[in-house]
Amino acid sequence: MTNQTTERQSSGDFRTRMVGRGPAQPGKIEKARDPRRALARLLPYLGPYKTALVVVLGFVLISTVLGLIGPYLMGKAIDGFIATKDAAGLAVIAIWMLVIFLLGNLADAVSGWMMAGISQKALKGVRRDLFGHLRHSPCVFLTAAPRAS
Amino acid sequence: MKQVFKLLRFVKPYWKKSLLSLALLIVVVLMDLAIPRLVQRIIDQGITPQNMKVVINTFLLMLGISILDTLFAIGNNNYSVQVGESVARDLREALFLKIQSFSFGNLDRLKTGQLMVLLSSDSSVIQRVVQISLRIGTRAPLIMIGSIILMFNTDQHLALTMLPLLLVTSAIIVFFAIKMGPLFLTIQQRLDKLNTVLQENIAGVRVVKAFVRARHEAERFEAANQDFTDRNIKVMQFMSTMGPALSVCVNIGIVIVLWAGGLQSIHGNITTGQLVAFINYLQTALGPLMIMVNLANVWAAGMASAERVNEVLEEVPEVQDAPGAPALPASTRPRVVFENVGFHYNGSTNTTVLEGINLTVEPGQTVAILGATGAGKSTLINLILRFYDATEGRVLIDGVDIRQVRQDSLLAQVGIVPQETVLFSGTVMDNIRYGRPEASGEEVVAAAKAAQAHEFILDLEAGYDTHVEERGVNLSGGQKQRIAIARALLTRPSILILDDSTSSVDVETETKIQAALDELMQGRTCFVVAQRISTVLKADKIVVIEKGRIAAEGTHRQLFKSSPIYQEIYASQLGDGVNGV
Repeated sequence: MTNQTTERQSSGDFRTRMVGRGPAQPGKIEKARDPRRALARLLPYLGPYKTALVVVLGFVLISTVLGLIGPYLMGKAIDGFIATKDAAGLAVIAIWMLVIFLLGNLADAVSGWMMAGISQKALKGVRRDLFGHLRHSPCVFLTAAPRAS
Repeated sequence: MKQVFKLLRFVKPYWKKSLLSLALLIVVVLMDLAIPRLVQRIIDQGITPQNMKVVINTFLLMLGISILDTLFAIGNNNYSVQVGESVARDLREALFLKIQSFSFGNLDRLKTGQLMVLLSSDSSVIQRVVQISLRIGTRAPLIMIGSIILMFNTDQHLALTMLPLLLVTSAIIVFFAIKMGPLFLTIQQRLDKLNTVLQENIAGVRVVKAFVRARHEAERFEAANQDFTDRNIKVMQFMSTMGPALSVCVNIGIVIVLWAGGLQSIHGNITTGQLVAFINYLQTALGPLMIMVNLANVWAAGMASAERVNEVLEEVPEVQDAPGAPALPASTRPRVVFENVGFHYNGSTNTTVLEGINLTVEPGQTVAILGATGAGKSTLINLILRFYDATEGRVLIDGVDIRQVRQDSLLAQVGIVPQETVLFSGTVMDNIRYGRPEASGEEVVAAAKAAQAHEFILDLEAGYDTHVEERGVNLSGGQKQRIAIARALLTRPSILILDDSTSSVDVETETKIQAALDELMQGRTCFVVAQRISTVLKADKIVVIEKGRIAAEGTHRQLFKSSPIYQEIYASQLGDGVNGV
């Protein structure tokens, strides 16, 4: 995400530069010069949350598998019970489907919830380090680099 | 909402493309809705009676529809992007032109930061609203409505059993939609705080370093960063539950339909194909819900942006040319008269800046204006340029009230060297030519020579073609000022205004600038906001302004004898070294 602006003379209102992380995401996507390396450098920020990330991955896997079982059961229900006019069997498989679906949704909710925390904390680390870096940069850098980046 | 519709006039020039885009979209929706019906046909007329021909034909038909669907969707995207980009471009242009037309009075009210946001982010937000309205914003509700209609068309009883579910789903969506706006606002507030710290640290980096306050600033940033993160986590976690909550509804619906519809099918009331089609429609009806919640947000942001944009577009420039105003007659050495001039901010009398100014400047005279900070010197200058209009009295040039003539013809005769030199990105040559782009290279060099700038320009790495960096950081203060003087010289103004500060310049450069200024002032009617002794001594007339009034007027000799205020200013501002020459 970039904020495309040109800097004003001296006391520019920088606050207005950063676009909120609200719903709309205006601005153009700027291509990274070396996407793979850029991403690799951001990876360490997720380091402290390794265990949590493994747990999230587990829940994502569960949700994916359950998501695949659901439609399979639907096929079973149509071919195995509706086509053979087995009302009792249909009721049982419908209950199973409901359970599978709901468990899948639960796994989804848990992974989403955890990811919200992890990603925001990691972003906080990125911001903190950027700010620290900014402070330790010589003044020349601030005049040479394009603003608002 | 009303604010957004006001901006519809920007879409109007592209109405053909917009309609085309929407037409393509409707075809796409119809094809989307046809697919479950074709699945139904494959099952009921192909698979169940074991009719391979129907299966293959229907399959080919579905394939064809899918390909067409994709092509039409691409076309729809293409046109909607074109319209969106064009609208944003026109909007930015309209805003830019509008801002250019503003006088200082308007600009005092609207903050520069706000105007920057208008041109960058607000116009992008509106572009997004336009694009989305031509795409998913119309597609999602159409698919929903179409699917619901077709659900009833497939089986009324089953469709009716889905009604309670639709109500619960709607309730969930309304709940999240209502909560979301205020929650994102609280994030925005935290972000504002974070940005304030950031802005102060970037703009004030030299001060922070010089006063060794880095640790303090880091703590301040850390606190704001933590606050912002905490809020974000809360809101994002809340939002992360919306998807699963809606999925639960859809899934419960699917199971109910499968069970109830299955029983119907067992009793022979509906076919298997109808059941499958019904489940498909249920999914396509509820699928766009999530998208629509997000769209509500885009719309909310769009409305806020539209309001800001309209506020600027509807702002009336304070200084405007009278209808059919003539040009100011050209004159080489005009006489400038202030006739009982007064000025109040926003026309209110308790913010008086100037009052009862009577001043006559004869052709070719140089007037030095002296006064404390905030006495009204700059305002007096701004009135000559019509950056503001006088609230009382008149300013006359060769007997013509400047409000009766076109402002551009007035400005064409006035040259100004501002206190703070503004250079634009571009070459040195471009910067000198700024006021007269058609000037020849020789004229530029002549102006630069007169401004004592020629030599140092030749010493730059690429001479006149040297690129001026952002805010002219690669030039010294004195060099920038001499470029500004050359720029003013090149326009050959008949009235010259010098806001001549040389506070950031060493003695040698000051001498050079002084020589340049003397050249510039030759034979012109000049106003000098004086801070330099030599300028004041040479002036034909010195005007001392105090609290918006003329406190004393005369030559140096006269004032030095008679005016205590002048003596005071002279001693404090111009130094004690040279007495009563």
